[in-house]
Amino acid sequence: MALYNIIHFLEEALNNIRRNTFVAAITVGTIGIAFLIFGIFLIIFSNLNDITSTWKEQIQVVSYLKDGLSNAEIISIEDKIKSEREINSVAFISKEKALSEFRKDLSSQTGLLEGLGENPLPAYFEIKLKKAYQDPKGILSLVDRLKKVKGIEEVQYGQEWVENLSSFLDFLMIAGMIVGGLISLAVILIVSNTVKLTVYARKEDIEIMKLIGATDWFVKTPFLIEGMAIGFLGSLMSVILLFGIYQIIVQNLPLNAGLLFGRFSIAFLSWPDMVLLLIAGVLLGLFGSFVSVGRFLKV
Amino acid sequence: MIQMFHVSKYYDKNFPALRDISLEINKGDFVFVMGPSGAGKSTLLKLIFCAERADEGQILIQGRNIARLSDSKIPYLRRNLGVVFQDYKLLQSRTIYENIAFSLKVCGVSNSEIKRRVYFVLKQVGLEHKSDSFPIRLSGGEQQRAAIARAIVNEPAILIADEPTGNLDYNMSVEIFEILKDINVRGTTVIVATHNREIVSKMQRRIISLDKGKIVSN
Repeated sequence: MALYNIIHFLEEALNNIRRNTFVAAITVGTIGIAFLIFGIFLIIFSNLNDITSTWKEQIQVVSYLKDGLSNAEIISIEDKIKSEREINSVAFISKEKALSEFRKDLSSQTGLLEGLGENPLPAYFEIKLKKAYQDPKGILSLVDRLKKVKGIEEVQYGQEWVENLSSFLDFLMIAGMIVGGLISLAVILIVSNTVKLTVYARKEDIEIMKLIGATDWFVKTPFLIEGMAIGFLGSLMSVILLFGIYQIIVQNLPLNAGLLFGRFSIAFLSWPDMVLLLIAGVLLGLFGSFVSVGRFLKV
Repeated sequence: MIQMFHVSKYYDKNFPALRDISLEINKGDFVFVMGPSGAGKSTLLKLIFCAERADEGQILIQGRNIARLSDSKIPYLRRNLGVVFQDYKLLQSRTIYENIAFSLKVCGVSNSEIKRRVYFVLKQVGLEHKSDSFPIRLSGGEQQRAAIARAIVNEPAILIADEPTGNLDYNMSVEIFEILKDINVRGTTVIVATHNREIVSKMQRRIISLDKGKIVSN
């Protein structure tokens, strides 16, 4: 009996789509376009997120050391720095290395350095922070503590850059949440209402089935399966379209465009994002059917 | 088979659609329900198959009180009743065969049994050659015969017909009443609401007359 019913429900759902191919196609198309807009937003947002996290990774704190420290003192300072919870990695740059890097940077104008008798550059530690502390608050509290370490003369961290980046990221997050929220709401309304319309078109059928003696579930289940199938096909269509659009854009993008953002490529949706999009399609189709069929079952 | 005790139904508090109806219909009866438009004929029938619920009184069908029947039990009651409507109520996107088969699918009848029984009733109403047609391709009389076939395919104890010939000409109406008579002869209780005085008087059956929601003669 249970198997008989499952086969019947699947058959009914499939036949319903077949009988109403035109309506089903329009519904799939509408859902596809709604999800396409959402997908475009998702791609833009997740790429911006990736770009900003590479920017964040570039944040580093430099601690300049006083001159004339012994090796033991330097090691002890390094140990102190390493013991801070924000630290991801620490690199020691000796006075000599600092000078040779400076020479490298100046390259053609190395002559400028020839007049120097003594190496004027201090030794320093390049400190990289853990992801969770790559913000002004995390940096400031670390800088405060580093300044108190004996042997450290000065701490630099590009204050202005960090603060600008941080307020930009805050803005991006809020804007993303508002835009994302509005688009999600629009998708939910469009998908569930479009599925509802396909059910409305068959409200007489539902009434007839009920009058013949069908139980609510017997009437409802094929509609639910149909709603899920249409939602799935719509979101699948959006993923395919998205990929097509993505390919066109990536292939026509000037090679150096990525450099602007410190990146070389735009990433497509991740696999989990794609799966989520498909699941959202299925669930919204199910929801739309469930709500609208329920309305006509009272016969 | 069907008993009603002091049944009333209100769509509007001041104008009851049915007022204090008490009646009894026995197994194997053929009963006409007559009266002018708005007399309450359709409401009376709807109460039997629970498309409407009584506001007052009790209704017993085969000894079962349906006044207190929960919504989830209504489908099981309807499977034992065949209902025919003036506007046929066929599923337009399905063939005649599929329309009739649906009644049996609802009850979980196997496909082979469905096939056997659908062809049997199609033959009974003279539509075996139209099984693959869609309702829209059929005449009004043929659609109503298909609707009757659907109503009787479950072999219900009671057949209810609400103005079954309301949209049909005289000859087609006679044909439909002949089929209903046949079904009654096979033992099914038949209740028909109709305006068609000419045919009713020819058929010489019990008549329940309603006016303004009350029984005026039985």
